[in-house]
Amino acid sequence: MVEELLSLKDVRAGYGRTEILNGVSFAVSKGERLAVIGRNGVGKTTLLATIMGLTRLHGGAITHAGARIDALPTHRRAERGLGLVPQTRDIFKSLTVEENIVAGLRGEGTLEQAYALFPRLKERRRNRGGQLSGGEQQMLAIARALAGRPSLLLLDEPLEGLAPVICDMLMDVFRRLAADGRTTVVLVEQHVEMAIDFADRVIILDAGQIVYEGLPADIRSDGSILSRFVGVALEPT
Amino acid sequence: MSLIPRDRRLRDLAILLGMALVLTAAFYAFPDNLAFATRVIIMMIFVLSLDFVLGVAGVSTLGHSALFGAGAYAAGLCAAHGWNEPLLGVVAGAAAAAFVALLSGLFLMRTRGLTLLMLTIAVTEVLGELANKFSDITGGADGLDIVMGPILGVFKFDFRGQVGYVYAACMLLLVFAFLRILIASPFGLAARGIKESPARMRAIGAPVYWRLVAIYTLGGALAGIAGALSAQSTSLVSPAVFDFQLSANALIMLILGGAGRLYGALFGTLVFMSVHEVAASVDPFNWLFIIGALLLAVVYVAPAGLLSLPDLVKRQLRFSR
Repeated sequence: MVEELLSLKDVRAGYGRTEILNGVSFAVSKGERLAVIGRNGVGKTTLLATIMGLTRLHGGAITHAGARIDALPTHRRAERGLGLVPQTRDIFKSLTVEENIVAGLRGEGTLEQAYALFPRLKERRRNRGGQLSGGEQQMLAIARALAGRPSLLLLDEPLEGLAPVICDMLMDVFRRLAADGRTTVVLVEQHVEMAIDFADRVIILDAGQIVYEGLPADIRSDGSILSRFVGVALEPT
Repeated sequence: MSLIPRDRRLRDLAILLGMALVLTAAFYAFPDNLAFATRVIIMMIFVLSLDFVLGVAGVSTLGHSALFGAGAYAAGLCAAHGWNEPLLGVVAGAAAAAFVALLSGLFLMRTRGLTLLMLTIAVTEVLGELANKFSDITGGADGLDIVMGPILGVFKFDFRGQVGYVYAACMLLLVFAFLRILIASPFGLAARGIKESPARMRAIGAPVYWRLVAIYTLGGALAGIAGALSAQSTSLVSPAVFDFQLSANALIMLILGGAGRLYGALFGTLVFMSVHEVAASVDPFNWLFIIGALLLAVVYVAPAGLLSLPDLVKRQLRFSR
């Protein structure tokens, strides 16, 4: 039986009194790769922020590894093994690359693991975060999140604004992470094609609710799903 | 884990050695001004502690004199009750100020911005009033006259202030080295991360509130050392140690030199106190005008402090080529 790592039950959340998520329920199994897609402004980023405890929860329950985490502060969720790579590449610009990674180190995480995943960062380890290119900043944000050895990695549009060659390299890293079975990945992504290629399962959000949940193969075979809920079509293979 | 690369460690060691040389040179160059030089050194320790709290960790405070005062009174009370070994007084001063910082930090660190600024001032006012009120213990408005014993039972404070100067200089070197190591440690890294983005630090698992309380407590201990040294070098503790002016001056010194880099605290203090000394002797009533003008010029030309001037000039030269 596949072990459930994360589950959301009827989650309603938002910022202040504004409710963005209106009753979201889903579960993620250990080692699974879940893609969350949808149009702009449908609540994808809010969903990840809510799992991380960065929004106001109005109702519902969030469970991680069998324990309720919705009342825990953000840092306790991170301690439990949740790692977030935010959309804005939230690195510490005044700290060096090495300091950024060390700031996120926890448990068995080491600098060398981060450098093995992103050799480019080792070359630039003495540079400040603000001196890096967009792609390097994204690598750093991911390396810092991984330094905490998360069991659940939440990736919020990690490919946004990056060159295709960097996107391919990052997707390859995500695949390798998911392949070792220790890291479960929830990927929010605008590059629908790449997200579907990557995922074991896909969720489509619209207006703060899940409007579709299924397998990548089903989405590929039924072109109307994407055009109806996301407004895009997949490239013919 | 130390994050200071070897070349930077060597540079720090060289700077520490350089500081020791400058302090030694000042000892021989200004034998008749050692009391003033000691005041400068003590102020440097105080501004370093403020730099750690405000410049490194981003905790806004206008009440740092509360911690200076707590350290001064603790050392003073120790001496007044017969425990007049100076190092013991410094330890007592650091412990008392750390305790006050911990106690006040538990609620101060839940606030931020203007509220935090106002509350830090309020804490200082409360402590100043307590020092006035409990005159049986504190000597009230007259303060406490204290007599210090010899340091380690050997080195007696002398009239010319030589022992006091060397004692304060050693403390400055210790505090500076300690802060350099601390800032390069994961704890210091967390402090710098919190200054840049508390939310980001939370997201990577740092308990931001407790870290801030710890930072404030540590900064308090260092301010307490400065307070204790001040009490010991002047043999007097009065409620003036809680003056708002002291906190404000320390902040000006830090802005002058440049916050967040430790060296700025040293340089800013030296410039402020030297200008103050000279300007006040030329015009005792309008010296603040000079300080104000200097601060305006620095904030306008080099907002990151006087220490950023060489970089600014270099950039300007490169740009003009």
